[in-house]
Amino acid sequence: MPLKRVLGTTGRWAVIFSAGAYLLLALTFLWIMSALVSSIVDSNIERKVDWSFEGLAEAIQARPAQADSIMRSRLAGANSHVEIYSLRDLNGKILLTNYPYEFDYINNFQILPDLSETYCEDLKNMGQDIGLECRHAGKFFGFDEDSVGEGDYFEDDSEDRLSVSLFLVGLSDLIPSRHETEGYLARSEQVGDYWLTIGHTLDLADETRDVTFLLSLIFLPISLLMALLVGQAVKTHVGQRVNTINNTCSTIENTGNLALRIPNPHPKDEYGKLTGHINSMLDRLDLAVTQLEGVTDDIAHDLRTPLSRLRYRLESGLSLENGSVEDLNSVIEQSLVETDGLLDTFSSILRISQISSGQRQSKFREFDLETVTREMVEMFTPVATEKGHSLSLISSNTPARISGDENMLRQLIINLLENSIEHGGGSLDIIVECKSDKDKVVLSVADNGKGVDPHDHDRLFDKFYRGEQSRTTKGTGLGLALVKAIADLHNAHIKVLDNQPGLNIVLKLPKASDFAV
Amino acid sequence: MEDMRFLLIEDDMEAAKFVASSLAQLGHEVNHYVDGQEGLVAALGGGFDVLLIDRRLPSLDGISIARRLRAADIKTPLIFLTTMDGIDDRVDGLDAGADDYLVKPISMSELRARIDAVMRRYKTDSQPATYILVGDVKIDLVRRIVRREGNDIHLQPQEFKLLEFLARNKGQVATKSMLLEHVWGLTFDPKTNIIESHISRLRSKIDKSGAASFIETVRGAGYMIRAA
Repeated sequence: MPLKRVLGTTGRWAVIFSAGAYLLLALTFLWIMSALVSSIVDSNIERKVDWSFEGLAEAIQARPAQADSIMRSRLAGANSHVEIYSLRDLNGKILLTNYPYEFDYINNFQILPDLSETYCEDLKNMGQDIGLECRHAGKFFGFDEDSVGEGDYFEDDSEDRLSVSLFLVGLSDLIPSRHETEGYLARSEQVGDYWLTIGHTLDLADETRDVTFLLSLIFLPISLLMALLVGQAVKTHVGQRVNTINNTCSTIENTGNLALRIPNPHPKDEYGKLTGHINSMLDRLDLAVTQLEGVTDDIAHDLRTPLSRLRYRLESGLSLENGSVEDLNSVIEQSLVETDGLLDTFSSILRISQISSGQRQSKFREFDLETVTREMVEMFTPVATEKGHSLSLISSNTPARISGDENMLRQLIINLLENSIEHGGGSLDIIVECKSDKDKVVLSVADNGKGVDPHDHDRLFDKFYRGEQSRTTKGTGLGLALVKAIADLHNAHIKVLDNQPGLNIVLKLPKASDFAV
Repeated sequence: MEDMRFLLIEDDMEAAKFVASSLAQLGHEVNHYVDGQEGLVAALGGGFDVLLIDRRLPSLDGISIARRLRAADIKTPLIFLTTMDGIDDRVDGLDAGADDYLVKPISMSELRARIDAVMRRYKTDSQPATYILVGDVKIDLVRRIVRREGNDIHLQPQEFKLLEFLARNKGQVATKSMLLEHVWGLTFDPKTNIIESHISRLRSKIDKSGAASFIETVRGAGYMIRAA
């Protein structure tokens, strides 16, 4: 499978970047690790050499006579590839050593094996430069112990191999020293009547470092591979989840079927939550569309009747034979009444949708609802009286300040009053109440009319809902829907109560905040 | 109302045709422009008595035209034409310097009444009066009482406001929507015929028995107090 297809376009770059970052990090880690490891090993070796040296020195000083046997027992257990011991007299003559290389005790020549001939030649020249008598035969190199002067050698560090060899076998200067060269760490000091030298190979430190490095080199690609595999697994999992969402969404997009939902077997994780949000959004959309369809049907139905009547009237006007001007005028007037009714319905629909869109809160101002209510009650009193109702206002006569659109609240009150007057039946007592408590302004319009079946209370605010008794009375069926829309816009809580008999609609509005006067 | 010259800027041809023919019937002259920019140029040219401008226009909207005209110190009475859902536009329109507005669909009686009201305001240039006298009815604007033939007539505040508005517009028709707006502050039309009830109450208080009503009903248009 090509990388591009596995990862997708964004995935590919993400992987390249993260792999690069991973490599950089891993190499840094590696470098730090090996430095750390070798420094730990080095200091361990140093401690070991010190510990070993001090133990041996103590034993020799305690029993100088047995120095020889103490040393022998130590040499017996020592691995000459790792630890090197030498015991010399104060003249520098070797008494005992486990130095693995051949040593010509008789001629007091030390032989360094395993050297190349050219190297031996170089060493010889170098030795001669510092006054050392040297010989070499084949791969072996030797020099005269007697020709070694005091304190010459270690100034020339360029030849570590030579110097350490000299040092270890006790040919070095007789100055107490701790010396480290590439490959060995050694301590050489006078102990009683002897010179004691203990050396330890540093190969172990190098080896450790090498092993660390090697292991890291092996684990680096393995861990990288595993990271990739884990990443791929996560991606596949995520991909499947996202694909499920994508598939459903695209089906909805193509078919317009809002009833579809995304399957959500793991609703608790992030994708489950996302799926949940999309699903509940679809629920809302579905509901809104269903409602819209319902409203559209209602509009079509509610407008067809007056439109048919209008058409009938116009047609009858046309068919009037020898109709007088008065007859025609009457037809026109009736038609105008129908048209006005239609326009009313339209403007109500427009107002409801405009208010429901919620963009009008920016026009909110603070005002006194009590005054507005009083004005509206005064405005309706003559009409109510004419129709045989009594309309009264109960008010605490204290300002009830709210933040809102005054014009809309006027409409809300008027619609509630009209609802009672138009649909409540004959002579009613309509009581409007406006009071303000601690954090709410409560406005209610109650009548003792026919009321509405409590089962239908919820539907009262639906667009085009009209109660059984209201079917025959005039109205658009939008008055209370508009009330609801305005109440919602003002974050008001609206409740329908059975006034037994009659209807009581109670509105609770948030009071304007106290700091504003 | 003497013959006047109107500038109509309106891109809805149906509405434009209706307004133009209505005004022509009343004996006025109408210049019609469809494009906002062209209309503005014509308005800046002057020579018009009333400007009727639609809110939404190609190339330049009504509000911008109003602002530029007022900025150019052209004080010709200006009436906006708005749609039903543009009630909020009203405030913006008046802020921009319009004198009044008309909601579409426009009825002829409404158009006529609004033009009359705007022209009257424009001409009298409202100096604060303390009373209005119409025939034998004296409306005391300071003490807010009405006197007719030496008798004090006590009116409810809303009744007084209604009478005051009709009297200020004496000789001209006040439509239902004008009354709703100026007396009760409503920018919409309630279904209940509130005005009729208020007018009949007012009449019962102010009219002399046996005589024709002081407040005349203009059929299909509104109400009017005849100038004495």
